[in-house]
Amino acid sequence: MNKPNIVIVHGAICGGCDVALANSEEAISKILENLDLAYWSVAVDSRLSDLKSLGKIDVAVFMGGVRTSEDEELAKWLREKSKILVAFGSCSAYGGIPGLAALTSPIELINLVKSTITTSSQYKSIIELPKLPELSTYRALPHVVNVDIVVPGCPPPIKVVNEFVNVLLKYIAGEEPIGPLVIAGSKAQCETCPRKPRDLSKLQIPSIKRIYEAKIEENRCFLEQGILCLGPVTREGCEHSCINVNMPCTGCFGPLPGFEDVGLRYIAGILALVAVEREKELMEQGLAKILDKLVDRLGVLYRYTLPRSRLYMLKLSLEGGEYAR
Amino acid sequence: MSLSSEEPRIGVFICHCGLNIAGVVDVKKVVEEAKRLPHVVHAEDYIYMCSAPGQELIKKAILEKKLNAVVVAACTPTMHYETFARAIEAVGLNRYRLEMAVIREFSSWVHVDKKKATEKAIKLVKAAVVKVADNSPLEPVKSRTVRKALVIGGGIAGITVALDLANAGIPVILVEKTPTIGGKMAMLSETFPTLDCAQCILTPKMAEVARHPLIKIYTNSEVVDVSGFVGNFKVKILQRARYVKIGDCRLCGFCERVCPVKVPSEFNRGLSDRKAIYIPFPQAIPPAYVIDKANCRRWIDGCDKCLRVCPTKAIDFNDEDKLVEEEVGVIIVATGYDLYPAERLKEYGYGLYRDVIDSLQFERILSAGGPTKGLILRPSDRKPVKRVVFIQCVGSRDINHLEYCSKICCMYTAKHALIFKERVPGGEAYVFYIDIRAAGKGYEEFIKRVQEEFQVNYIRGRVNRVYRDPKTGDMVVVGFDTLTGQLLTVKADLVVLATGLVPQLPYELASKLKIPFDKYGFVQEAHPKLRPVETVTSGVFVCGVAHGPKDIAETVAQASAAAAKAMELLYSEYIVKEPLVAVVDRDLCSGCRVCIGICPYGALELVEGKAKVNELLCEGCGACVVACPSRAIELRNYSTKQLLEMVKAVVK
Amino acid sequence: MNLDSWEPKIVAFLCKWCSGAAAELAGVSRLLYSPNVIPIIVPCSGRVDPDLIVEAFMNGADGVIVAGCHTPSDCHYIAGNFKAFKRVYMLKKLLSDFGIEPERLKLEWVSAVESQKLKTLFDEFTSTIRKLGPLRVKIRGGNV
Repeated sequence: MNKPNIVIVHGAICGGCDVALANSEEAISKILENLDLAYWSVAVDSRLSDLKSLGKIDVAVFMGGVRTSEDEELAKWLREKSKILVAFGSCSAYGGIPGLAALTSPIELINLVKSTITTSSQYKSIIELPKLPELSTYRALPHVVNVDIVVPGCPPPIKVVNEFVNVLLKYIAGEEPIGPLVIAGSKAQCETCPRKPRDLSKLQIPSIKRIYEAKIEENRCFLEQGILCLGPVTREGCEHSCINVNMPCTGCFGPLPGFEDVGLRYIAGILALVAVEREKELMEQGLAKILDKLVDRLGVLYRYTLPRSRLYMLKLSLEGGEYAR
Repeated sequence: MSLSSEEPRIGVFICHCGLNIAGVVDVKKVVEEAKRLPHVVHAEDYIYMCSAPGQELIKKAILEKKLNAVVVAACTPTMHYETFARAIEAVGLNRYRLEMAVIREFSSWVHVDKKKATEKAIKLVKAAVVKVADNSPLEPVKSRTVRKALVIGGGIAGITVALDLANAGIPVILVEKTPTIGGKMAMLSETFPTLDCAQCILTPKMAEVARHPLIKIYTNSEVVDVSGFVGNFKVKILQRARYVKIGDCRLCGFCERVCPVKVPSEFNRGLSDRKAIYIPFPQAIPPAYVIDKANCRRWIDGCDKCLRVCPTKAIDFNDEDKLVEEEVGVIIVATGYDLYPAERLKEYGYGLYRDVIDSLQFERILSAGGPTKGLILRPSDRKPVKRVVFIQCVGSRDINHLEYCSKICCMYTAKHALIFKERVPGGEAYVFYIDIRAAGKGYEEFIKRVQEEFQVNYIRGRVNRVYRDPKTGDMVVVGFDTLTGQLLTVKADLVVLATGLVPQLPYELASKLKIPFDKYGFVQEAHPKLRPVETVTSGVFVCGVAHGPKDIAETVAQASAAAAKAMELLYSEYIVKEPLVAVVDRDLCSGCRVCIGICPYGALELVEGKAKVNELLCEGCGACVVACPSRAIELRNYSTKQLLEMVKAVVK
Repeated sequence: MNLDSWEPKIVAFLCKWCSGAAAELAGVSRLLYSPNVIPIIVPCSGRVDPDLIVEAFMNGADGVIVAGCHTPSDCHYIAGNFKAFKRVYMLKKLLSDFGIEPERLKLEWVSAVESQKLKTLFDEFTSTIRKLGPLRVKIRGGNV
């Protein structure tokens, strides 16, 4: 059988991307029809040694972020061996939610885990963890190796997974990859957002409200109601699955083309627009009070994209090594 | 977006400025370093770059080396940008392909360490070089102007602006909400401090407006829509039906006599009645009666008494509201004020007792043409007033009502007290005050005269309560005298409240004009000291109390100022603007509308779902450029790319 | 990095109408100040993009100053200074979240006549940065 092969590999995952891929009937059937599923540890019984013994790899799908030195080695090995490397899911593409731990040192992370372990043993002080792989600097896949396709989403929605497989098949048929190709729109969510603002001529954000503080009106723009929606700085393509169920966009589809840092764009635009009609009345003090309502800055601004942010790059560059200034 | 099409060929010219620069900065070294910068094909230094021979060097280099961009490292642009811009234009290079590196004010004049000053100068030159490489060769933005002005408000402010403009040859459209021009000044009896008769100085101006060939008056009208921008405004004016043909009305008054409907007179502020067909006051302009449709019985039971007695058939019940469209180049807002509703200060009993009145009502009582023909009689029983109490700061300077000072009340209260004392021999007048504000010419002297010569009793303290003694029918005023520390009870026939001024500009109109206003509703001027009659919206001006509390002299001065500013705009054939404005790339725009809210000038609007910049309104601040979540907007010659390169150039 | 020879590198974004004019006045008045501060003139403090500030730090700056017109009413472009305030306020918090001292970014209002204030600002900020040392990051938990 000379079907091209495909391997699906994990870094730091939650399992959601595997479920998303398995759930996408059309995509999964096309894969199984056209490709030889050589490695997928959740679906096919195989060991890492089986993966390593493959002669060539046509398509490698990497889910999850690069957390441990093992993940890093694997990513680099895959890039060498594979024709097409795919960053599947927001963790792989941008860092994802585990990225929020990137600012905590590996040592502190381990200590944190140790401090939460409880035991009924009388020898409480002696707690041993199983042998853990070495934690390295947390990164998104594209920061470790070049990727050919990026499939964003937490997890990627079915429509996007199907589109990804179509692109994959085209590449396999011989089309030249122009990477990295992101399977998402290049405009912001606002372009096709189903919610209509009250004032079609301009956007006004009178204050900042946390979700539980507002009685959220359906069909009305979130920002107008003071709810911080990341739509304006996030790629479209997800068919607004969160927005349609009365939850603001949290940014899992990642930044618009040409940007890396979602948070800086957000503070430059949306947060600068807050209470703009009352600036002179509120003055710095009043404005600061309103901005302080954003308590979880990293969680809101960088929920999925922290390891790809400019500020993270700055931090890495100051630590020396390959990113040194 | 702003990349020039050809490869940059930059010439760098370092000025010594005598020893001002060369004494500290190693200019030869700067030339050397400049030559090594990308795209720099020529670099030289000279003792005085701004001199004629210095400029010749630049021109020569442009022609010989085919330079398409120039950096002059010298003093500040404020000093010599224009000098060098004209020099390069003389040899055919666009003036926007010039940047200056400020190595004098920012380096040689402020540092002593020569090595460091030179290093800094080199960095400043580097930044200027990377910026100029991406400057677009721009042309100024031009737009024609309609030589016509719209004045909103027909009080003394609006009248003054209209006459100033019309006398200078500019056609004016004057729109007034009420059936006559004249405003609040027409209600006044005398004006302080000269005690001129208000009507005597106002009515000739009103007549001048009426007969001026270049002024078109719309009364009983309101501006309901404004679109366009400076030089080219399109306005819609709703002209309400008057039901009386202005040209045919002879002011005979027969209609008024037979009209069966009586309602409180607005002009006399409820102190007397008028009919449903009425003229606000005899000298009204336009000189014609008007029917108040809401109260007229024509539409209830077909009453036509007035129609039958009118000798000239001037009454026309078929009249209709009209929507008129006009094109104008400038708009001047002169919407004036009204008094704060004094009934909100429950302690004073306004609205509860007929003998507690506000200052405009007192003006009507004083007025010879008013409800009491100038006799000072109190409203409840027409008893002659022997004792009057004036209360200042009613609503003003009060954290619960109006926080600001209404400016004119101290003066007009003194005027009221003086006139009262003149007309009522043996009369007693009391004034309860907090402070006396009398800053104008002759004002302090006027107050002293009222206190000393006319012996008006000034009591420093607040009034706690006003009520009527049911036994005697007297008004009783209870207040505190802070200077003696005693509680006072004053019995009076009449109590006059010096109520605060509030602006009358409707919120919808301000939005349509895109002019900001403060929390009280007063129009916000462009700069409180240097641009007091302009608003941030180009082409829209403000004058009079619409801008803030002020007296007639200041109002007239401001009105003339607004007229002068308007003329400045209208007398140029084109409005020419610096082209350093923002530009939207529609392909990148997602229609999120963040930019529209950020722009202080209202220069951005949504057109077919995407943002668009009005180049005439954009002032080039760049707030929208930073705010755009999609980076779809850039600022000409100050793009994000240029600034990023400049940052790298100075820091690396 | 040889800490003996290290000199702080500071970028100052000055607005054309207020702080930039103050810098010109400082020059004319021959007020001497620290050469470690390099000015970049922008039309308005509201033109300062947080990306520019981060770019400055990325490329070698140890400190950044943003100087605009006094609130509430001095801004030539009405309210650009308020936008600058909000952006710098949030960016300082983000810097702190990422382990960078927020004192390295300073926002100050300087009017066109306050040349002395500008000189003091530049000198004091340079010494603040000198004390903080070259830009480095503290990882939560301790090791740099």
